[in-house]
Amino acid sequence: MEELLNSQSFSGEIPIVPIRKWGRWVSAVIIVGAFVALILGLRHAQIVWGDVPKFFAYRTMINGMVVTVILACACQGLGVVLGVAIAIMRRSKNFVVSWCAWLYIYIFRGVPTLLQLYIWYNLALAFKTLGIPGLFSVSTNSVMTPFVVALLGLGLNESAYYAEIVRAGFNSVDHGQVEAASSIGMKPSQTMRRVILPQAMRVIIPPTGNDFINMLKATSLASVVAVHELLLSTSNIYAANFRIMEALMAAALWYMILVSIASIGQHFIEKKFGNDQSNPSSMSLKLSMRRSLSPRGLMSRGRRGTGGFA
Amino acid sequence: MSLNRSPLVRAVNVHKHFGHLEVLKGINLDVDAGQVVCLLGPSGGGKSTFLRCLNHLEKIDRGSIWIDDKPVGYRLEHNKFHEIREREVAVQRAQIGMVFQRFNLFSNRTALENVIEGPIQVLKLPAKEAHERGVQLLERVGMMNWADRYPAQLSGGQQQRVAIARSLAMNPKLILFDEPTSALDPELVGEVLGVMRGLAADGMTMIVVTHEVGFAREVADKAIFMFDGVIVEEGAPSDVFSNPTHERTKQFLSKVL
Repeated sequence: MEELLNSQSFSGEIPIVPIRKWGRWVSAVIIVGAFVALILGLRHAQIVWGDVPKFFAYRTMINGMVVTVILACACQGLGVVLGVAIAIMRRSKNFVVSWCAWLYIYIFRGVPTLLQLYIWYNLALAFKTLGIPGLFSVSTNSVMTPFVVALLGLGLNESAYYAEIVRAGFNSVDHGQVEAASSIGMKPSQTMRRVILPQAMRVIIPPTGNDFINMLKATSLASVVAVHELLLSTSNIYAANFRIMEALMAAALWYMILVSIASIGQHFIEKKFGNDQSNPSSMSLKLSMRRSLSPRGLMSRGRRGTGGFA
Repeated sequence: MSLNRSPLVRAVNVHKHFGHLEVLKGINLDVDAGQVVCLLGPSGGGKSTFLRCLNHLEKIDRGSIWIDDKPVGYRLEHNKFHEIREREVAVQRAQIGMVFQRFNLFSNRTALENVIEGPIQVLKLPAKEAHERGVQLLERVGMMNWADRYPAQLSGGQQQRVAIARSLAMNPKLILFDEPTSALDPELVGEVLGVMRGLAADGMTMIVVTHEVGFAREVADKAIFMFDGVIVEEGAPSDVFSNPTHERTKQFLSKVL
């Protein structure tokens, strides 16, 4: 050491040679190779690619896409409203109420969504009419239109999951926050609105975006109960012209577009609710894209997120 | 109450248990307006629990607590205590400030927003007036330069000073301090105690659970030692600290002094 530090050529700084990460280069080459092979393979596939944009822009396809969006929004809306209500019931000190909420979650999470759709679809087999005996009644078939069946099947299922998300959000708020609110004389309703909910939002919002994205895709299940959403419209198209793969590709493209839009929306909502500095990890979309797409980001992923103040 | 001038706080034979564990075994305490009372003693002696009973964060099992001649958490009717609803308790609590060991500032609000939350939401003060008062109070605790910071951006001592300003903003008759410096790094304890000294000098009624014997000796009008849910010794700090009569107080003081 003495020798080096005292030598003529020593300029005060000793250069650092980084570790060569060969594994990363090898895996990157393999993946790129596989990707190229996939593209080459697709060129030989028996798909008339020219038909995909044509089907993509079909009136039927677009109508189906609109129904998909409306159904997803309606189901998610129902899920959120019921989910919050059930989460609040679950917190209740009244044993009967909290047990009821538990049972609801247990049932709707336990039964497959497709099966729930079939049950609602066939409700008329069990109950010819719906209503309160002596007061009013309506024929089940007239109420349970395909859209209503899908709304109940997907929405109630979602509400059970959403209740758990909200519950996790409530639980994430430190009890000291509630005591502090009490100590300045805030009423329970004020504490819920001004202290618990805004803080729980940070935990609730990100999974809500995920759920909505899942819901966009889950609405394709509604095709089996005759809702003319995107997938059923697609099958109507290929039933007429037998261009099955082409129509499916066009539908896949639509789903990807919808999901992308939802993801961007999710990002901004997350930013809005995470802007209280207690969570310094929130990055802008541009920054996070730049970080993950730049070659540096690719090569040094392990170093992400070490910033921020202590 | 037959006294001419009844004390601001009166605790009569207060009992509290958690399951089979008896935490408070008959606490009696009077605190006059303007007095500073320090509760000392080993952890688990019931000091914090008693403090939390005073603003009904914990329900007492027997006895009664009176603030300004009104029972806390109950309504006296036909010689019976009727439990009152949480939102009615909230009205009582609005007059009793509390400062917590863990600060408990609202983490989604800035220092100033923390201070004006109570005045706006509970006292229904106009935003502008609340804002002005909030600024004054932050000035008073020396936190004006950090008014727009979020709690996560402040040190423990700074958070605790904001928490004191938040409780002051409600114009309380009394402030309860629950080990306000126990979660602080040693070099930050002084700034919080400094603010508390200022409050005491201004005549604020304070009940302080603390391990800071020096502070108690200097500021308190009355020092109280609690062991295992009972008060074993109370009196002027000069007497209690210099000539403790009870064996357990002597033992405790020999360890902390």
